[in-house]
Amino acid sequence: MQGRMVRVALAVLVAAAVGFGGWQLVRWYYPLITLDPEAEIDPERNYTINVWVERGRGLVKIPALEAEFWSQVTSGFRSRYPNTEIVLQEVSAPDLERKMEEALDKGRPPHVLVASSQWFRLWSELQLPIDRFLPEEEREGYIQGALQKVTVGENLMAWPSHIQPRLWAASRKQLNRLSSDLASVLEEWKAGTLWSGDDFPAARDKLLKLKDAGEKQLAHQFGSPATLVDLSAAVGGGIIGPKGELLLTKELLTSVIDLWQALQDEEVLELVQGTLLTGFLSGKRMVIGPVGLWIWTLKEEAALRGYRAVAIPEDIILLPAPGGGGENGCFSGTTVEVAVFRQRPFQGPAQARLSMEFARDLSRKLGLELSTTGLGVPAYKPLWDEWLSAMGWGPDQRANLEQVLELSAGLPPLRAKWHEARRRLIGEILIPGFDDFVNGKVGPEIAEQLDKEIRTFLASLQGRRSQGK
Amino acid sequence: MDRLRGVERFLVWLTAGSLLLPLAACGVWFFAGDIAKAQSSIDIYPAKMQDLDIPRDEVEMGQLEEACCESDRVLYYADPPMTGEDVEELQRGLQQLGAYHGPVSGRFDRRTMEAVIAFQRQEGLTPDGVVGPVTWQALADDFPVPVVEGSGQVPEGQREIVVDVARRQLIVYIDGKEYQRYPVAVGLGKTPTPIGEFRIVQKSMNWGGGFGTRWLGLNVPWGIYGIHGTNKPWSIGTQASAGCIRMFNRHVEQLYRIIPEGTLVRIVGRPSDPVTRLLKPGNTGQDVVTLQQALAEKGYDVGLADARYGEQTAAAVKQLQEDYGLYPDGLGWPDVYLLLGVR
Repeated sequence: MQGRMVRVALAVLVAAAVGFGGWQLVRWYYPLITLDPEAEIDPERNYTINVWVERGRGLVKIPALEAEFWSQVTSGFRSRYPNTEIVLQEVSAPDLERKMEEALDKGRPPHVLVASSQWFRLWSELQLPIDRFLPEEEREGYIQGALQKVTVGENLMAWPSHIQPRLWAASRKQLNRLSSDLASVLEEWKAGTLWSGDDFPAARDKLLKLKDAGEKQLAHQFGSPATLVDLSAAVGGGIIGPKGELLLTKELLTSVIDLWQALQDEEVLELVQGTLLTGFLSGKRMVIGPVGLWIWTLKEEAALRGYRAVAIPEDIILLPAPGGGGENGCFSGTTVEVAVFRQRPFQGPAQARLSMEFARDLSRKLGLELSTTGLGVPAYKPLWDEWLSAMGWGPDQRANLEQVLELSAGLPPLRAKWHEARRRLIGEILIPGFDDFVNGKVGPEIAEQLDKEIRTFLASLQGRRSQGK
Repeated sequence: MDRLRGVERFLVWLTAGSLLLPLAACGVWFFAGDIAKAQSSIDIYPAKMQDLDIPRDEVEMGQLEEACCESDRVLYYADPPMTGEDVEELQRGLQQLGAYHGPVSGRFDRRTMEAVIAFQRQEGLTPDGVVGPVTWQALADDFPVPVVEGSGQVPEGQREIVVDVARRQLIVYIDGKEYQRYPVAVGLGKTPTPIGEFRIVQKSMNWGGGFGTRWLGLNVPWGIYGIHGTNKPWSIGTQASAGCIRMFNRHVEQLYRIIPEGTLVRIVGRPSDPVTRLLKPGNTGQDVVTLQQALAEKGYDVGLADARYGEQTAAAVKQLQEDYGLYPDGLGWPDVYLLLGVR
C-alpha cells in the first residue's frame, strides 16, 4: 500500500515536472513558431511599440528624439498602421545595460532597441530572429559583413543599419608612380589576397619590397594596436574556432610581431603621431591606416588648411584593413543595429509583426540618415544610390567601397559563448598586449606572453565548462 | 615746548608733502604708459583666477596684447602736432557736436585747437585749447544718449550677455529671453574685442575718464578687458576701443544693476583667429577659442569656449582622437585641426 502511494506520488511529480517543462518549452518557442510576417493586425486593437534609442556615441550621431527624422519615421509607419502608437525613449550608453537588465527582469524590455553592436549580442537570446521577415532575395541587398555581424548561431538576430568600417587609404597619384612589380603588391592588398593566412610569411617579403619606392611609404597611426589585432585574426583564421579551440598559436603570433618589427626596422612602415592625415594629404605618404570612410569627406577641411596635393575623394583609394579577406577577415569598426525583443508574456504575433516591421523600416532609414555624414555606409545597399548621390560620390567610389566592404566581411560567426570569449580575448588580452608593444613598453617577447595569457584564459573557460558538466 | 616741536614737525611734513605731491603726480603721468603696459602683464583678479584654476602661459603664446586701457592723454597743440586715435576721437566728438568742421585726421592741428577753444568757451571752461578730463567730460555731457526702454521690474532668472561685435550691440538675456539691447563700441581692427565665452569677474564703480561710471571686468586670460562706460559717447556704435566693450554711461549703469558677478558673456560676430601652432593644455589665446568652437560644433563638450586650453578641452580633443582612431594624447596636432576643419 505504502509502495503504491510512493509510486503515485512519484508519478504525479514526474507528470508535474514534464508538464512544467513542456509549458516552459511552449512559452519559449511559441513566439518563434508564431512569428509571422503575415500575422493579422486587428484594426480594432491599439498597439504600442516602445523604442529605446541609445544616445549616439563617438562618430555615431543618432539624431536627437526632437529631430525631424523621428517624426518622419513614426508618421510614415503610423500612416500604414494608424492604430499603433510609437513611444521613443533615449537611453545613454552608460545606463543602457542597467536599465535593460531591470526591464528584462520584469519581462518588459523595449520592443525595439536601436544600439551599437556591442550591446545587441549581450541579450541576443532574448531577441526575436529577423529571418522570417527578411526573404532570401532581400538578403542579397545587405552588405554580407553586416549580416554576418548580426548572425548568432543559425539566425539573424537584428536588423543591420549602419557600418563604420576600419580601412586603409592609398594615394592614387603615388600608386601610379610605382613600377608594375610594386604596384602588384598593392593590388594584392586591395584584392584582399596579400594577407591570407597560408601565405602570410610571403606578405612580409612582398611588403618589404615597397622600400624600393622610397622609405616610410606605409604610415600607421602611432599607438594604435588595431592593425596587430587585425593581423592576428587573419593569420589565425579567426582566433577561436567554432568549438572554442585556439586558432591563434604562438608561432602565428610571433609571425605577426616579426612582420611588424621587420617593416619598421627596414623603414617601410613608420608610426606617425599627429601628422598621419596631413602628411598623406600633402602627398608625402603613399598608404596610411587605419582610417575611416571619413577620409573621403575631408575635402573642405583639407582646402581650409591648405592641403591640396591629393584630390578628395578622387585620389584616395580605400584598402581593406590588413587581414581583410572573406571569412577570415577582420571587419571591425562601429556598427548600428536595430533589434526586436521578446516580451513576457508574449504579446502575440501581431505585436511581434508590427515591432519587426517598424525595426526594419527604422534600420534602413536610420542607416541612410547616419551615413549622410560620410562617416559610414548604409548596411542596406538599395539605399546606396540615394546615399552616394547625397555624398556626391561617383561610380569609382561605389566600386571601391563595394570591394573593400566585401573583403571586410568580419570574423566568422560563433555560438554566443565563444563569440563572447573571442570578444573578451581581443579586448582584455590582445589589445592591451599589443598596446604595450606598439608603445614600446615591451619587445617582441610579447608574443610568448600573449600566448600564455590566451591559453590561461581559454583553459579557465574550458574548466568552467567541465565543472558545469 | 614739546607741543611747539610737534607743530614745527607737522609744518615741515606739510611743506614737504605739498612739494612732493605734484612731483609724484608728474611722475605718475610721465610713467603712465609704462604702468599701463605693466598692468597688462599682471593679473588684476588674482583671487578669481585662482578660483578658476586657469593656467597662464602668455609668455609662450607670444601674443600678449595691450590691456583694454582707455587712453586719456592730455591733448594740446604742439610742435610737432600730437597724433593718434585719441585725437581722432576728439575730432569726431567735436564734429558730432557741430564744433569742428575739418577732417578727422588724427592730427591735433591749429584748426582742432581753435575748435577746442570755441567749445571750452561755450561750456564756460578755461579756453586754453588743452583737452584734459574736464573737457572730455564736457564733450560727453553734451552728447545725447539714446533712451533704452526699461521694462520696469527686472525679472528673476539666469542672466546672460551676448555681445555682437559685428552689429555692435550688447543684448541681455534673462532665462533665455531677450530682456534689453544696448548699442556699444567695440575694439579697433588692430585691437579687436576678444571672441569667446567669458564671465564677469569684477564689478567696480567710478573709475572715471575713459572708463566712465561703471566697470564689469571679464576673465579674458590675456590682458584686461571689460564692459564699461565712456567719456567719448559719440564712439558708441563704432570700432573705437582697445578691445573693451564701451557703453553709454547711463546704459552701463543699468547693466551694472542687473548683472551679477559670474554672469556669462558670449562675444560673437567675427571669426576667431586661425590656429597656427601646436596647442596644448595650459595655452590661452584666440586660437584656443577657434579650436574650442570647432570641437563644440562637432558635438564635443568643451564647456565654455573661454580661450583656455584646460582639462575639459584636452578631454574633448582626446575623445575626438579616439573616435577617429588617432592616438589620444589630447594635443592639438595638425591631424586634429584637419579633422575639425579649423582655419
